[in-house]
Amino acid sequence: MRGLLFLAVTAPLAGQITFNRHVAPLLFEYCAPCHRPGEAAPFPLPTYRDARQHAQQIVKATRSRYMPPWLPEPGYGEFAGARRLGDDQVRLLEQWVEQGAAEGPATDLPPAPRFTEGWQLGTPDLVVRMPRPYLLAAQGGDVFRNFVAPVPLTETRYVRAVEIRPGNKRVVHHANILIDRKQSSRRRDEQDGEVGFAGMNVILESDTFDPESHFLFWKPGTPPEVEPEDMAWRLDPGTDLVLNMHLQPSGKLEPIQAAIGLYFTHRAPDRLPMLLQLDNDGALDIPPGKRDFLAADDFRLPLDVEVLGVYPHAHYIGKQMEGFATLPDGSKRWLIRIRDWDINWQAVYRYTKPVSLPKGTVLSMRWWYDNSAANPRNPSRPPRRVRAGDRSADEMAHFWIQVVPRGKGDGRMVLQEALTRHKLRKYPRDVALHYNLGAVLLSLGKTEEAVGRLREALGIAPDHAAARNSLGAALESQGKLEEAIAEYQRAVRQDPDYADAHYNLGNSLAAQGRFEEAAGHYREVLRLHPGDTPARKRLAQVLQASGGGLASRNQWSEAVTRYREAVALDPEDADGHNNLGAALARVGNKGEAIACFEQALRLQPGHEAARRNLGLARR
Amino acid sequence: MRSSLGRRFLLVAPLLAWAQEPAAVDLAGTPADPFRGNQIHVLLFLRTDCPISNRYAPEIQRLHQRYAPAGVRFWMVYPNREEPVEAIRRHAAEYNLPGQILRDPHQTLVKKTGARVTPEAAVYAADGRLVYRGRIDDRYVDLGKSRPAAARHDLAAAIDAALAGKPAAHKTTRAVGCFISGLR
Repeated sequence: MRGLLFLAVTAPLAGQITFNRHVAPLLFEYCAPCHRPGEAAPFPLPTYRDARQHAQQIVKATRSRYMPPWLPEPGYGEFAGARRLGDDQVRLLEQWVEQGAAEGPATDLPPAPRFTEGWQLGTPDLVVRMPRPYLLAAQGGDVFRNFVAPVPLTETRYVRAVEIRPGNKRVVHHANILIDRKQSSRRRDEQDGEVGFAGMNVILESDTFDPESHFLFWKPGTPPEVEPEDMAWRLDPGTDLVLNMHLQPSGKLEPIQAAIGLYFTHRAPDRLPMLLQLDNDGALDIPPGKRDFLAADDFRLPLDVEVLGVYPHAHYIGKQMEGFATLPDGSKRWLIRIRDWDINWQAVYRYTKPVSLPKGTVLSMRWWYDNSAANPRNPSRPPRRVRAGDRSADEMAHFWIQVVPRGKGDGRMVLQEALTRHKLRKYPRDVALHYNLGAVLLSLGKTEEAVGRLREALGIAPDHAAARNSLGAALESQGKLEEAIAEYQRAVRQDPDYADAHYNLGNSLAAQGRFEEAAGHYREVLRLHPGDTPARKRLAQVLQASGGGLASRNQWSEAVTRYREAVALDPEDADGHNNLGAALARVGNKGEAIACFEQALRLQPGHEAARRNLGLARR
Repeated sequence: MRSSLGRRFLLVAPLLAWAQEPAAVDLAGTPADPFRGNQIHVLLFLRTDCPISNRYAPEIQRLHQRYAPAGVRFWMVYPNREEPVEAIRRHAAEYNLPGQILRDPHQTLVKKTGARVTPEAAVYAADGRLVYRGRIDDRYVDLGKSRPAAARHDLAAAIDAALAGKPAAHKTTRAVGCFISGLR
């Protein structure tokens, strides 16, 4: 009887919206990943008590589409982890509050979602941390800060997943990892006395074709991405990770110390993706007051690709964005559309299924900007002329597209060539582009054209050591050794710490029989990179050759010096021990000579010359 | 069957008897009246879990530094009845909030001023009249939409007007922030 009475009092009226039956499932799915203790959102939402305290806030935030944050327009690309609420769901939340925000019977409440605490993918194979916390001021505008994290590796590893733990989720809006293979960011670190360095966009130096090919991105409430089995990325010793973070002052001083967890695999990648950057920063010259300034870019694909994900990027006055593909048959395929851009919620968007696009498809980017005073997000008041740059008052017009070239071979070179040519049409005086194109042409075997491009780059910037070095390599592959040597020599004069140029110069000199000079340049490589095995082997070889030359001129004691150094550098080389032994025997040091021949035979029991020499020495 | 009306009545009756208008209390639970004394009073409504009011903490400190020497009294009012005293104490210390801390568990001050969100300010002139209610400044335009810096400092202007004995330029403005719980 009492039970019945209880039910009669608390059971919802027909059609009544209750927390337990209608609202909790939505909050669990869409809100709780961030709105729970220890996460990025300012308050938890999973329980009735939490939700009731914020009931009106929930209605206002969902109706305006401020929450859950999700910028892409529905119907313009199918993305994994889409967080946008449907109109009916928004209406339901509204009705719940209108009807008094009832709880409803406990039996209606679905089980609460389970979340993994700590590292989401388990204990990482390697964790790198910011050396010390960065202190974010209590007030002021947003801060864009970059932190350099050296990776302590002794051998190359393949990374299948990266987990970023921002350290202070309440103030970190998003974070991005860049791979700095040349440690080019270290010198900028702590230049203003604080850990890290300022800037929204980081330009890394690289003199090899090794494109950043993966989006390594963190935003609140999104689990870390695990790369497909065959798509891990390479991490070499000496590489730095640069963590680019968007921080928002909270009202009090906030320490931030991020950690990066790396998960390795033994499997080298079979599929090599690439990030295509559509951009038109050069067109950004937005007059003050202009409400609908357009920046566009269109790039024709030179081969078939699969698109895995996209990352649109602009700053504060970016308003609207479109990314689409026009197929060779003229049909249009949407990649993404954002009606109300908000830098605070920028993100990487990955497709639920890769988007296949055939060769000849044109990829398009459209960005619109509102530089009027009516745009509350305008960082400048009154509005001022806006150009491209990496401060928050500057703008950017970027659209990154992650693609995997289809078909056999490394299609990235073909893509890179087409993309660089495309960019050169936009920026014909850009040295780096001429240089990049030259480097790509060189690796594609188009040497003649590569030489032209590199000379073009050097015409604009004669001090460009990397272009100088590449020109040397191009000339060398054409057999023009003298000219190659001259270019390498200029490169190392411009940059005495340029290891690759020293190495190339050493090789060219050695090819001309100038062993002593070559040895000097290999020694420079080893000064810069003591662990460089190819340089060590090369040095041992030229010392051997040099020793041989001296021996042929009967300068035996000088020959001994060269051979000794060679053997020390490459103690596994049986020939080296044999040669040293022979030279020692010539200068009368029989005892040591015998030890050398014996060592040669230990390394290579079938070494005929060493056996014969040993016999002669023992006689 | 007897309804439970009788019991409920018994519960309500003593409440009505001891307070027509339940007062705001300080953190020790002592009723506090922020309108005593012949001076200007500024009430700031806050929540411990509202990122927007948190972000205003440095601005509130600045306003206090500027106007407290002129005799203006500042009250930090926490109207969310479910916020524990300890959480409020910790919050006020963490964000270095100035002035007197009040709880408004019966939302007496909320009703009196008409505040709806946090942060929202109310200014009472020395004669006890409400002369301003609304935003601190215009930095926030909407949830998630803010200017890099404020252009109009409405609360400061209202305090200046009250100190000069003049009416505020705008008696009310629309504050942007987190809703005060329990309001319909």
